[in-house]
Amino acid sequence: MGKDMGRYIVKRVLIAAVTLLAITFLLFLLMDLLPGSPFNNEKLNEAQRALLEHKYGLDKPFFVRYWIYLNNLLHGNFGISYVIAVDQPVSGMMASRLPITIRMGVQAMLIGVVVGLIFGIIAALKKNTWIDTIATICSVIGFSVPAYVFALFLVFFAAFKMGWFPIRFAIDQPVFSSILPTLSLSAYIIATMARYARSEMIECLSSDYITLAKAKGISEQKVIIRHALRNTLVPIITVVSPLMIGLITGSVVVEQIFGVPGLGQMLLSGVQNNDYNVIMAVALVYSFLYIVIMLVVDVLYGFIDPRIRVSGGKA
Amino acid sequence: MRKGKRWFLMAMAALTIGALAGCGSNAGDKGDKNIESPTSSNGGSAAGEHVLNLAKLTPLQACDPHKVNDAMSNELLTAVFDGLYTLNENGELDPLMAESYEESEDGLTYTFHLREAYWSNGDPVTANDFAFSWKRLVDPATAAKNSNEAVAAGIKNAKAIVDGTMDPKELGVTVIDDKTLQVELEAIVPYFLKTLVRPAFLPINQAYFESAGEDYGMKPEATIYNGPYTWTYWDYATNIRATKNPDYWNAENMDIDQLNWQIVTDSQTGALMFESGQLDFVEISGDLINNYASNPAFTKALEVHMWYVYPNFENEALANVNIRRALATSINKEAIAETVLNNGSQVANYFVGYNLCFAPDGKTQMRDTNGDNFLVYDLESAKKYWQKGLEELGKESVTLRLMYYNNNDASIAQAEYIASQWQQTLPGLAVELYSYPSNSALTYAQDGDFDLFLFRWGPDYKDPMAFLELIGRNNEHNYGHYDGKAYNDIIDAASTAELLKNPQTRWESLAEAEKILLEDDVAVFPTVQNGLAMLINPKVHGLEVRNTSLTWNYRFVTMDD
Repeated sequence: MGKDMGRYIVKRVLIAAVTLLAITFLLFLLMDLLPGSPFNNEKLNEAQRALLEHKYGLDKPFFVRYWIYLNNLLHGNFGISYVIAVDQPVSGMMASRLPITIRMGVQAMLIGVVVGLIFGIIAALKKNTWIDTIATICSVIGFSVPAYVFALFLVFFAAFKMGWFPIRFAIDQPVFSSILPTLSLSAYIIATMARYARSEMIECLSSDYITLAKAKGISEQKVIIRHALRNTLVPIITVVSPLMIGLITGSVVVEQIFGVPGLGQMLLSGVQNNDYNVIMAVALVYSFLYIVIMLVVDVLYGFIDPRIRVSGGKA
Repeated sequence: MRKGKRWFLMAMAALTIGALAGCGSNAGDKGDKNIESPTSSNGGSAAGEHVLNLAKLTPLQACDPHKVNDAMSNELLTAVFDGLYTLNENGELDPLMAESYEESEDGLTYTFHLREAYWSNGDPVTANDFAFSWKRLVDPATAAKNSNEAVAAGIKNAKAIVDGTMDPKELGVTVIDDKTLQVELEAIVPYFLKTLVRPAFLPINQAYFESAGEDYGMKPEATIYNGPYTWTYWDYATNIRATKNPDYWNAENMDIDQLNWQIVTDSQTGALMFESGQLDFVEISGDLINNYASNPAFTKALEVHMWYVYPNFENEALANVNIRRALATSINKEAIAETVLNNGSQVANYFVGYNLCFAPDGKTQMRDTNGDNFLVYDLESAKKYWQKGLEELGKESVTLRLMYYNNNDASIAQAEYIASQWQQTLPGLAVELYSYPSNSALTYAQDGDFDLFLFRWGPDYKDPMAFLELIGRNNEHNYGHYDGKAYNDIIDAASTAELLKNPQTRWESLAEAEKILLEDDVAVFPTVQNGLAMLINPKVHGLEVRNTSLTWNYRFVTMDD
């Protein structure tokens, strides 16, 4: 078992590395096709633009630039920003922003998963009662209202009207200020989790082994906690990785609304200004995070369900 | 198998507890930072301190005068460095580092005498700080984004150096002694002194600059200042701060103790922050303007920026002057100014903006000389010109692409309004809207890949040429490739020594050029002169007017206790 698992993980890590490499190439290509240049604003004349492109090596052929970029990347160098913080190393810019974004993401994920599970399970246990109806309505709303609408709502009521929270991210109160953005991001996760947990739980409760357990005379409470709940939780981890995508795209917008100095905000300014190295670095970090989460989820799943591990290891 | 499941359940339980614990501790952590507190709210300043909290739309790029040419960076540079001069509330020269100057009889040599002033590290400010900085500005190795301003100022050899055909050492700037700087010009430049207020001409202490290396202008602690404020904080994102410089030569007259800039891209959020007292200044647009119109904090101001449409002369239909005239005179500029933008913008039946500059008499503006009645909105005559144009083209319908910026609210609102108005009033006209982020739109404009391009320009120097040269034959900004002979003759002559010696004649010929451009050739379609709608804390004074061709200048801002 240990050997299979080891081989499986090694293989998955290798695939992840190749995927990342392919992503760098694809991103680099896409940016090359992006109209405009980091050095194009109405105040710069042609000679100035040419000088700037030469200074930063942007006049070199595509593959030469790609090779230089890749080589720098392998040495841990993400390059410098051309526009949004002129000549500033991108790694330094990310260092202050990454913890803020990750904190928000992790908080949103934890709150989303825990609250969503509780909602879903309660709804399933109280199936077809008013509690279930309310939970379902809430999750439909949470599922269909975009994070930014929720964010604006929170800004207006919780921050502006009630004054409980800062309207805009306060850099000297990073945790306190992260509450509203976190809640905005977690709404979607709560809703998705609740829907998923509800249907899994209902399915579990109607399966043969639950009927058997009940027939054996095990108490209702024990049946739910020891059998139904446990089997409901297992498939739920597979939902986590797609939810990550929602979290990443959502964070770009939510960071903009709350003025959070995080990665999403950096990505957006980078894109608006054709700041190539900034876009590359943030997109790579996002890809990396996503791939790592997927990897962890897959490995976890392999632990729990040996069928996947075995077929995965031999394929 | 059982083991694995149990492990997983335990992990889930741990996560849950962690999450709940995390929630519980959130509210209490107001002090968990080791960064220098940048005070993003009103809190944190000592009682009686005058702290200005300012919302800005675009982020800081750097605090190095030769690496940037964007609004926020210029604003910070202007706050933390003193050049030779600045402009006061009335747009007049106000001496900073220069105590006095002499002009040679031929008008080609200026000698500046510097005042006793110091950098924030204690070094005296010397003539070399300027000479070094200006040579760096034109050096192609710097690739400065504002090197063209040295050329516009007419400093001797600047053009050749920028073009790479001469050594930067040859720039016409000489250090006579520590406190005396001599500048030679290629020709008489009527707006030379007022050009020197621009951030491009700020001084740099050479010894410090060389010791700071790459961090100069990038890190507050690796930069020294000679201005009223010192730059103290930047998170490379949305927060910037500058604090009063106690060693500033004029420190006792600076009323504001601290400047906190926050980049707030959403004007709705900005307005909420303003209302809850977290901001003293925010720009607003769109529906917010109506909501705040009766608020005592609401202020409108006129900028010098002009909005106009470039017609592409290489398009068959737009090469026809009747078609161009029909398009230019069927834009309801009043509706744009009053309804679409409603931000203090003003109808522009002219191209050289109000408040740009004065004639040699120091009183007359171009609008006094030339009036403001070019290409006035007139639907009836526009329709006639349109029909005439179509007949000349032998066509019944025309499709035109209108390009505009999609990262600017005023651009989007105007373009959509103009397009629908054109389609409604000019029979047979179909307008296709093409919106891009500004830097992509500019790329298409440079390639000539557009029919009509809605554009905004803010002038860099105080002379009618700051607008008129844009449409000149060889100018980069002549995106539509207009090539009117009469117009170009005047524009070319305006930079010759002969006309520069006769400023009044030059002024009159530039007025004539504007007339040709608009009335005869309809080479651009001006829409409005840009306005700004702002919410300003009523306790703050001197923020109402942004200084033309410069930026916000906090030297003249005061705050009630």
